[in-house]
Amino acid sequence: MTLLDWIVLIGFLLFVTVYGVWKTRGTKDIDGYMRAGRTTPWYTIALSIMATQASAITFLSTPGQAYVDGMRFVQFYLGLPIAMIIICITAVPIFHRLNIYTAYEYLEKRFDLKNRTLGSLLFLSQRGLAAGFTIFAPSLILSVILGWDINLTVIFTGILVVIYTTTGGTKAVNQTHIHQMIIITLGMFAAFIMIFFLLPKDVSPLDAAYVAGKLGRLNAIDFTFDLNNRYTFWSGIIGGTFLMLSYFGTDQSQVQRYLSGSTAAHSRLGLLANGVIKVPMQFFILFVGAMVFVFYQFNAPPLFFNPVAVNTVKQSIYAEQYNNLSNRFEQVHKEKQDKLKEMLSSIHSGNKKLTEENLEQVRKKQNEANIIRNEAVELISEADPGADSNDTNYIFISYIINFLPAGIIGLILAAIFSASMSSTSAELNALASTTVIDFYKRMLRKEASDKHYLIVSKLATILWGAYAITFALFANRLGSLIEAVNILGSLVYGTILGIFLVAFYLKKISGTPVFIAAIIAELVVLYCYIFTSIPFLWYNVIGCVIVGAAALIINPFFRIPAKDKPDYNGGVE
Amino acid sequence: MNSRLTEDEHNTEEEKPPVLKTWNNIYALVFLNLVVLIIFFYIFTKVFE
Repeated sequence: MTLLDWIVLIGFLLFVTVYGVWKTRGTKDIDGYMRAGRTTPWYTIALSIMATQASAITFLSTPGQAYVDGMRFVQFYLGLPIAMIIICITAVPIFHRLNIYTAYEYLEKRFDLKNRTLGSLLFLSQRGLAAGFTIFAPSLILSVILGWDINLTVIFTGILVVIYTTTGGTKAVNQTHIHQMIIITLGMFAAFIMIFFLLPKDVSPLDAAYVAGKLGRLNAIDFTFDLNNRYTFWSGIIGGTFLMLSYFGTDQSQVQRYLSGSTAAHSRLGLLANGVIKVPMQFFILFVGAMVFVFYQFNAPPLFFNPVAVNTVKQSIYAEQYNNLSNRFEQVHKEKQDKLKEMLSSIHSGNKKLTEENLEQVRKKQNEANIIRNEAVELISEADPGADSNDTNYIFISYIINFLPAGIIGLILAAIFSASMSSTSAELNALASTTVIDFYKRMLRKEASDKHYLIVSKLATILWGAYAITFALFANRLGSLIEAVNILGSLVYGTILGIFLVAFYLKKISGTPVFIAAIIAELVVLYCYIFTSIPFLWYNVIGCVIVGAAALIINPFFRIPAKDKPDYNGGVE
Repeated sequence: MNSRLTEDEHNTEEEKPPVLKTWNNIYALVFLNLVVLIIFFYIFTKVFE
């Protein structure tokens, strides 16, 4: 990192923090703090929704995923536009009309207090753990690659986020998201364009696309139906729709973004803009990863991208074996590079037969390289059984640090930090709102002044921030818990979505049946997780469908006194 | 805070979108965009594979 990179990185982070505090200094009431006074225009909502979803891991891991596995991950997002349409039709108008602060308030208005408490508790437990992980994961990767102190990185990022989120609440989160999304977009474009400057002069962008495609990295669509295949058109369009419905329709960190819309129309337009932009955006990020793969076909890649794991194996009894593998890998890479150039020549000359023959040779060399890499991973695992054998998250950042010019590195690091901060700020904002509205105001202190709730909200933001930073500081020692945090989201989202869909569509069902159905659904999802190999994406479908079906079966057994019955027959209570 | 919802509260009045006259037209456009993207991804996959 040069001085210019540090100036770009620190300058942008401080600018965003100061801007967030300054722009929202007039926030004096709870409505302004939690819903930005319901004055947010649609384009800010759209950017804020995207910035909330795009964590730093999205930008570090997604290009690496395309490098290793191709672009098929884009199918994961195919359900998103459908989910946006469904939320616009159902949730947005009701949430706006009810003038609520959190999604879970609706559950009490529709059912009863126990469903509201269940929904908000599931959210707090899942999102509370994720908030710490959102700060920890990028800090770990940056500390490994750049040698930074992980604790200082976590504390620095965490404190900046807490400052502006506590000061300005939702408005600060929304406003800073605009700048963060701009820097994220600029960073990704810079990384993309630089690849073509760094490729050999005789390799055009179209050649690069052919190389990526022929080596299986441009596999954007797969129509085969296979429950064991995580990313297909069907898992994306069915499982993805359910997952995105859960995330955007019931997760307060997203619901809070569109509850701040000045009208229901602005909220809808914000969500629909996300539905139009998000899929191409993910396609672009994955395409960057595929191009990084091409770049490394013409520039020798390391045998393994995680330098800490490589140092560990090089200091172990396996050092000689690893060095031998490394030399073999380099040799195979050179041979593959020659074959690739021959293949491109045959494509240019239009000789299909020769192209196929050359491609076969390239694939053969690629398989040889993969076998050597797998042997290296085995050595790494033997040298340190606790070592992370997956280096996907380190591929993109290695390319940035080792090959991009001064200034651009600072810009892309600013983009990565922006992504981390934008997700964390929305999470802290939502955790504080749910804590205050669904627990403190509902159960502890029902009648108090606006100023009192504003102070409590700021305190709640600081406490959740301190908790997230503490979790991130200790995450290194928690080992497998981090994996559990990732899984937890998939385990609860389907059930929460089921409760909300029953509330929206099955109007004859009352509170107790849906509550029991939710408990049954959660138990079934846990059974699937422990005893089956069904991919996570399908848990959302299973949980949601079981809540609906069980609620329908149980409902006739619960006769509700007429005075407690929800009135859905046109009358007004 | 815990007053139950009425049917009337579930059936909200339509607020006109700024373009394309109805929300259904806008939803159709978003869905059409998805279909076009899927077709593009398919062609993209086939052309370069």
